[in-house]
Amino acid sequence: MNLIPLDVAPEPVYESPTMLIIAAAAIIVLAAAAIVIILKRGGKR
Amino acid sequence: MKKPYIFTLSHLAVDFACFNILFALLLPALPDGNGGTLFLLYNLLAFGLQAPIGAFIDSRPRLRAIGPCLGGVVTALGLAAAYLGRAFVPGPVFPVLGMTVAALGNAVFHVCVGSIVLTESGGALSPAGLFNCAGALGVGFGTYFGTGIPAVSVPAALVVIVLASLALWTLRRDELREVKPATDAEPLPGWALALLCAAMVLHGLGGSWMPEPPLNGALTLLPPIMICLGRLSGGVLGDAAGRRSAVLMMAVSAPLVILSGATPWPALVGTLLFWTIVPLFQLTALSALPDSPGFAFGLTKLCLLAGTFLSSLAAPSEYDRRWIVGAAALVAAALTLLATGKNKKKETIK
Repeated sequence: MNLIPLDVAPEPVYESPTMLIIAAAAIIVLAAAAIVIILKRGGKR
Repeated sequence: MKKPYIFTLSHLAVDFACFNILFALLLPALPDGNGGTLFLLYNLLAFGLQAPIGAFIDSRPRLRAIGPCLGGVVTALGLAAAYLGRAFVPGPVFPVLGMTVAALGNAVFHVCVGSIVLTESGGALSPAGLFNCAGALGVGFGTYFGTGIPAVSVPAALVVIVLASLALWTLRRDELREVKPATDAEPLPGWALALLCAAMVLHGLGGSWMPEPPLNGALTLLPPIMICLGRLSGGVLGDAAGRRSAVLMMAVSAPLVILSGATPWPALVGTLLFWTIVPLFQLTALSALPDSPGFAFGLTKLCLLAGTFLSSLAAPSEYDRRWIVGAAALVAAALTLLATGKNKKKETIK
């Protein structure tokens, strides 16, 4: 509920493949950055 | 003593402002067909950026100290830009600009306050529950009033967010300047953090596909109220009866969600129970990353975003959703149990 339920939008996002690909790429980049940070900070301990 | 309540009320104000922008100002200004894309952009900015922002502020305690107020002010500027700009320039330009600015303010506010709350919680779940519970109300009320009475709701949101920012400004000199290690115990291992992340992604997916009970009018506010009560009670009960009680409550939500149908109560009670796990997610993430409270908080939001995004890739029927959400609740509960292992209240975090 923190996030906007995507089905309340006028057009479901899954009907917009370009935006889905961009969003997926953004999330993958963020996740990769998070893994790098975890490995770096874990290594400091 | 007043600080937790200022954080809680300002959380409500920030989310109320953002959802007024989205539902009262942005959606009505859009030509048909763009809403989903812009809402996804909002989710990416407001939730996806919390992890990198959290990592950034972890080594900058002064920035973290002013972050809550800064986030409130930026959100207020976004709302003001969308509200006032639309009066002079018709069309979606200013609402989109305001949404973008407010999403950034939202991210800064959430991760800075979340970092402070986790650091100062002393291992207790209830402070995180108290902070998190207000977000659901802000989302629910912002959507409901922003859609129903935008002429009143938007100015009210602007006043409330400015007052919240002023209240947050008074807290900047509190003991926020120094990030103290949250624990002197052995941090959770990497595999436990990986299991926890998987559980949080599943929880995000389940939350997005939670069955919507057949409610009309003001009763549509009941689900966000249940989420609020779930987060709050998850913290209180977890402190009183042990952390595993929050996991058990989420597991119990599964049959209620699966059995929900024409009668709204099973779905509402299931919603409450499903969200009791949130404080435990955040405190367990902190157990794995004790020196990085901001990043740990942001990581929980990134997992939530990933789960929500996954839910947008398919459109199962209402019946299938119930089973998927029920299964997600059970698997997420099992993963959380595995991740937390034998950790009990205040055992890993002091």
